[in-house]
Amino acid sequence: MKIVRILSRLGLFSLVAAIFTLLTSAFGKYVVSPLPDQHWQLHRSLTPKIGELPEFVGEVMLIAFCAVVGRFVFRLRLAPPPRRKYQPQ
Amino acid sequence: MVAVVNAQTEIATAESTKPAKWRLKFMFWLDAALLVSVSALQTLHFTGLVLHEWLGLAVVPLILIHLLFAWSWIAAETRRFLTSQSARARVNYLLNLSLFAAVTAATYSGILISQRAVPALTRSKAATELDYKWDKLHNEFAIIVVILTGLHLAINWDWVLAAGKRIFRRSLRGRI
Repeated sequence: MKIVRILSRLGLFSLVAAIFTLLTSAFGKYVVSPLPDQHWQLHRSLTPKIGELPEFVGEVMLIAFCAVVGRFVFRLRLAPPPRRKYQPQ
Repeated sequence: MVAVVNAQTEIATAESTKPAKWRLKFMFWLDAALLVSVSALQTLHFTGLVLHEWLGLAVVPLILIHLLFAWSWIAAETRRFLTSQSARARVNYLLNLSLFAAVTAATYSGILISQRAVPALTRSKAATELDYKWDKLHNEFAIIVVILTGLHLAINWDWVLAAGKRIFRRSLRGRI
């Protein structure tokens, strides 16, 4: 019974993903193809390069930066206003 | 007698909270793995093309597990979305939906331009010419994923902090 529930949920996620895939595919048809980049093969290596670790650290920092900015924005814009204390007349 | 009953109750409580603790720990480490994976996927020079493509495919089941664990929230918020809801809950819902859409788009475009992983899985030959259009779109979707991941982290920051505190405090206590 539990497996049926899990499978049905996975099916629902797949359905939503399929809709997004169709939308992406349709969007791709309207995008103009850029000019081929001759340096493409030179820039892409097949194997990992440990020397590029700072780039990975930079990406982690970029996500952290987005999180900090988001935290400020959400706090400022989405935090409920402070409740006023009830003052008896 | 009272002491025995108390002890039994304590054991029962500990037993019932065990799945919750396991769930929290699992979710925390799953999310941490997803965060590291998203960062690694952005650095093609660091991972190399082969690892990049296989990692991109491996992330898909992780995301599905992440979504399955959040099912009760997704179901409740979807039902409540059009009715009474706070601005925060609405923004959170739209943010999560956009993140799912961006991840789907990045995965789909990644599959289209795959040179190693997808040809290996389907036992087909990789295209000799790169589809520059989908390559460009793949990079753009990936940037959107990074930004939305940061915002997703921001809006769930309280949960991350609380879960981290509980997990690390417990493991520190266990060592002492």
